[in-house]
Amino acid sequence: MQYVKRVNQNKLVQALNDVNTDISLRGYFLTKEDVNELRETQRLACLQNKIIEFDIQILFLITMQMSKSPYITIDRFIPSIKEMIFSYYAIRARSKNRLTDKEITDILYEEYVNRKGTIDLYLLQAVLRNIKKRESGNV
Amino acid sequence: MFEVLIKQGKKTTFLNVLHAGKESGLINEIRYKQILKECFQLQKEMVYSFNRNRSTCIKFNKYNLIVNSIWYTLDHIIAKTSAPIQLLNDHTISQLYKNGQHIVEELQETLKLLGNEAYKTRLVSSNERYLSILDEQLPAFIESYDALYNACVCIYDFDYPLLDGLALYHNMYDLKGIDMVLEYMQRFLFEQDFCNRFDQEEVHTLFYCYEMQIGVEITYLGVNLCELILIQKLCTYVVGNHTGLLFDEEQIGRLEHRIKTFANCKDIMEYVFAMLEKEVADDAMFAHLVRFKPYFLQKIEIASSCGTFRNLLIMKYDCEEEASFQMNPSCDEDIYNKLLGNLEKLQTPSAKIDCILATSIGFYDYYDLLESNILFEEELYLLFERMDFTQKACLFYYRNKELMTFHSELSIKYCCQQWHTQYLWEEILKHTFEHMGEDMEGEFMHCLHLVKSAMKNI
Repeated sequence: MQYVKRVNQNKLVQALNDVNTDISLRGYFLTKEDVNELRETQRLACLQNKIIEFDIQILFLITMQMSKSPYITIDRFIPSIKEMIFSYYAIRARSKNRLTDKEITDILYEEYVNRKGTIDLYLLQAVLRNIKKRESGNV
Repeated sequence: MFEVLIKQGKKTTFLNVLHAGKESGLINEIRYKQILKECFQLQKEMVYSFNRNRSTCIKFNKYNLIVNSIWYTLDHIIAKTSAPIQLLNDHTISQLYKNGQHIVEELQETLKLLGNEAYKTRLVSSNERYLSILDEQLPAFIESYDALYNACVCIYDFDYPLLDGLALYHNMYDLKGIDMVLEYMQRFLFEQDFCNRFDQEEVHTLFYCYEMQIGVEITYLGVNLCELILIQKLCTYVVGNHTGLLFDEEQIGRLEHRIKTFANCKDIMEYVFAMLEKEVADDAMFAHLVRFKPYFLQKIEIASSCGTFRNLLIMKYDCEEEASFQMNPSCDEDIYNKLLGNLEKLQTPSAKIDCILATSIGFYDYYDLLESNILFEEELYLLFERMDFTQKACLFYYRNKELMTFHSELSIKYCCQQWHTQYLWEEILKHTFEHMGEDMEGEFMHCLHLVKSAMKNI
């Protein structure tokens, strides 16, 4: 079973350029190898949480969010994104599909900053609580 | 193409046709890849619309349901056409999907019509499962059916058994979703129409006699109502000049005699079904009724080898006797108070008992009297000794109501064993039943049956 569906290569290159222009302002840069590494992480996260993903846009969304983080150094940039990807899919598997991708990554980042850059089980719990609150108000 | 698939033992589904077309070369490699691409695009669109464009990911089990729904819809369009390969070559998948959706919508409409018809022509019966199909399961299914994202699933099990048993025993007719429900409802309607051909009053009497014969209300039994009528009808063909559905002792004797004239049970079965076909004069309905053949053969074989036609068939129940039997639930308060006043004045036990029996009080008054502890042990013994069977049966029934609901054959011994006595009078009453003579027991049981049926009407 293919957990992450194939993506158009031209679109991928275009999206990568867009992200790079955005994050280069903060001193980061994504190569094609990095993207492949992130896609592999995404595949594993989807496999682990039994989720089917049709797009890779979420990778760039998380990358852009993480580039704003004051708690990471350049050598921890890619590993932090990977951890966030795992967190994102763990949350998706445990919540209803009532919030958009952007809303969930925003909440995730907000809690990440609140917890001073630690990514652990308590972060997930805090995000899930937050999401439940919003979902109940959003019905 | 259909022939090839049938030879291979496969169903003519969209995926089977696609793979068979590729293997046989009727769909070329480029078109095959294009079809797969279109299918993927369709899946993607469906997932996005399911998520209301909020997210690009979906949980695995939901994804499976959506994909299965897409195949289910496409299967309908493939099943309807005679040239499926040409259809796949000429049309895009999204076009086919739209056409398939129309077919599924039409099926939904048909099901609604069938449901309405079944509701209008429903039988007068209190069978819980039968009513559950018409009042709960079918309307709920029609309302909750999701043809877009969850077309293959039917959460209701349609547990009213048809002539050939539950749908579950037939692997839900190897169908899914709305197809299964349609098939079930068509068979259900055939049976209902068959039952409606008989005089409704007669059918009602038949159900009533059945209840009385086996001693359990039809409400609690998951019996097929058509089966009850059909067995009677088929056996009337054997008897010959017989009007009505119910049998009596004389007709049973004639039936047994006639059955001996046949070589074996299969001949009887063929004969009665041939007669039925003539009378029904509806091929589709008869095709459904024929499904009962093996069950009927089994029943006839058992009944003829063991001589148990009285258990197989529904016998006439003497309703007149029951109508003549009337019970008085309770008397006027003044009469009861007067009796209490008289009892205080009287001294000897026999005088007291005479006074009680002479006053016409209802059976609920007896409980009041007994539970108020006015009578002593000696007096209670005397009272139960002098009471007639009907009065005793009332007291017995009142205390053992729950035990007698599901037992076809009442047994005093069993009831006495299960009887947890609370009061002194109950112990004494139980004692009198335990020491009742065998010749008395038969008469008492008759009274108990009358009381049981009379109590229902109160």
